[in-house]
Amino acid sequence: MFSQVQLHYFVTVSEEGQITRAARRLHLAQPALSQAIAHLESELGIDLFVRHPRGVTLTRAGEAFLVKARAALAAEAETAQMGLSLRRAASAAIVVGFVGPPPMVSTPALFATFAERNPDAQISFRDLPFPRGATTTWLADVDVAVCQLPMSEQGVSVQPVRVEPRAVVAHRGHALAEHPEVDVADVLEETFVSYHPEVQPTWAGFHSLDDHRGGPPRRVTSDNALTSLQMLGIMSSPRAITTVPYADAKLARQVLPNIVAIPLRDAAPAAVSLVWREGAGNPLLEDLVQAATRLASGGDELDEL
Amino acid sequence: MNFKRGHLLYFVTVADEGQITRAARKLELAQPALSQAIAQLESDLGFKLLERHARGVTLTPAGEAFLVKARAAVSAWSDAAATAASMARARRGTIAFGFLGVPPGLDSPKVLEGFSQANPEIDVCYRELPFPTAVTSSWLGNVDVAVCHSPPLDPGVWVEVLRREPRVVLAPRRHPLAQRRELTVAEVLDETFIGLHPSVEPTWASFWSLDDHRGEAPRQLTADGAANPHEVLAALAVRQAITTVPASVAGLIPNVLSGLVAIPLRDADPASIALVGHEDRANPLVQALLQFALGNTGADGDLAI
Repeated sequence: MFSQVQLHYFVTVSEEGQITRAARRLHLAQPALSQAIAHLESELGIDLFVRHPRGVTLTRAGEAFLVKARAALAAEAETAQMGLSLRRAASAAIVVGFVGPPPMVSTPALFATFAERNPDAQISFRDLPFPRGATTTWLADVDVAVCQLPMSEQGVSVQPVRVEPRAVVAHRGHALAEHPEVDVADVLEETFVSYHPEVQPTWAGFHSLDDHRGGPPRRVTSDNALTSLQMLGIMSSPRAITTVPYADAKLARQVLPNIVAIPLRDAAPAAVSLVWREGAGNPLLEDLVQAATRLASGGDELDEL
Repeated sequence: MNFKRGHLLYFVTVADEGQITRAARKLELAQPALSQAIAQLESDLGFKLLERHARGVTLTPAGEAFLVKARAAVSAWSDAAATAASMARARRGTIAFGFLGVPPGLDSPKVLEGFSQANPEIDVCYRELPFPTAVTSSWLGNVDVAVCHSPPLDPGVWVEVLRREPRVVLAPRRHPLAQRRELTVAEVLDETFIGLHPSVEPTWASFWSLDDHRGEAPRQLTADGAANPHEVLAALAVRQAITTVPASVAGLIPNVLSGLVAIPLRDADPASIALVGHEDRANPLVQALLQFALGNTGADGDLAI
């Protein structure tokens, strides 16, 4: 049967539509890739590609096989990820992803409690890009993430850590900057920072108040933000505003002296949450979720900064 | 993490069989080689998958969680391989045609004859299948199309009903009902029926013991666990029990097995004899066969495969 490498080559060539470009992406010599594809075709007994002077296109059989090859690679990758999560579970390790400020800063009480209760745990943190594609895929390399709720999905669980008001983040020179607080109605028509098109639309839309407007803003910038760090860079430009949980806004202000954080009086609150894929049964994750549940019901996580 | 080819399949087979020895037999491997491969997989993963006992193996909790993903990966790989094999057959002009029990060429030869005459370049190869199992698309795995009483729909398959056919009671000649020329559903509901294998799709299996008329399982099922039509016939020969079959099958069996009788069931809902194929394989030969079969289903519905 074909190998994982062969399938990976095949999928890459079909995505690039050209052996030369695919070879570059795979760090392979072009003849080696051509040969590998020809070898796969002869092994399968079908033609996968039609060769043209300017590239390759999939045959009908190639198209049908592409769907299955992608599914096989994805299922194997998921198995590997589950293997890594289970290994961490077996060795008292946990990887916590985050979007926005690091968890030790954004939710210090939660992680202080956790560290106290699990002095020997190997906890590591990983900065995640904004949620893209399926939430399970986005969470692939971490055991749990701390973030504003991504798209809900089968196999994904959520525990809110803190619920807090949203705030507008704007440049000091922005017309809104003088206001001590604003209403949703005051800002709906503003120009908002735009997110990368692959970012989950409901997640991105929450930051431009689409939930209140019932649709995207009339004007957005062409920033295409994909990570928190990019967002920090964009926030310091005077062109557009965005909204984030109030605590995050105050943290951003500490980093960027030229921005202001303006409380949004009547916006639906943000729920910063733990989000994780079910199934690995990591005892450390269970403990973290329990700690978050206690904090959420106690409501003492919102520190003054 | 990359898995060695075969390791995931080995693990899934061991988990299903509950014993290294039995799994090795099924995989046609030497038992020590399989033990070693599983130990290697465990060491690659960094956690234990199995608890070894004197009489076999059981899964650890981590093994259970890993099994779910490994099973999905194994089935995605075999689906990709089966799709490629189907395409390769189509290229050679061959259709792998699955059937249960009575070869379709025997119980209704007209359409297949007609199809062969109209498409002399297409070669139809018959493959006998066991009764449908839980996931119809994997049951169909290695054939391009099959004819049988409609199995449950799943997203990977299409089902085209060709004709409806009365159900008929099949009983051993020494059964008290064997002298009857006709029966009603009410008269046979309390009989003992031949039990099918637990792997057979439950709704499909229960159709043949008239559960659709009774609203529940029969009072008594034999312990035969038949997984294909031959095992049902073998069981009938030695049991004081009955089953039902489509009329076309019943017409042939007593000719071959003089110990059995077929008795019409006046008021049972008919069986739906259907062609079943893979939704996403886009096999042009199968599409030609389907068009031909649908075009040749007579108004009375009794002329088709």
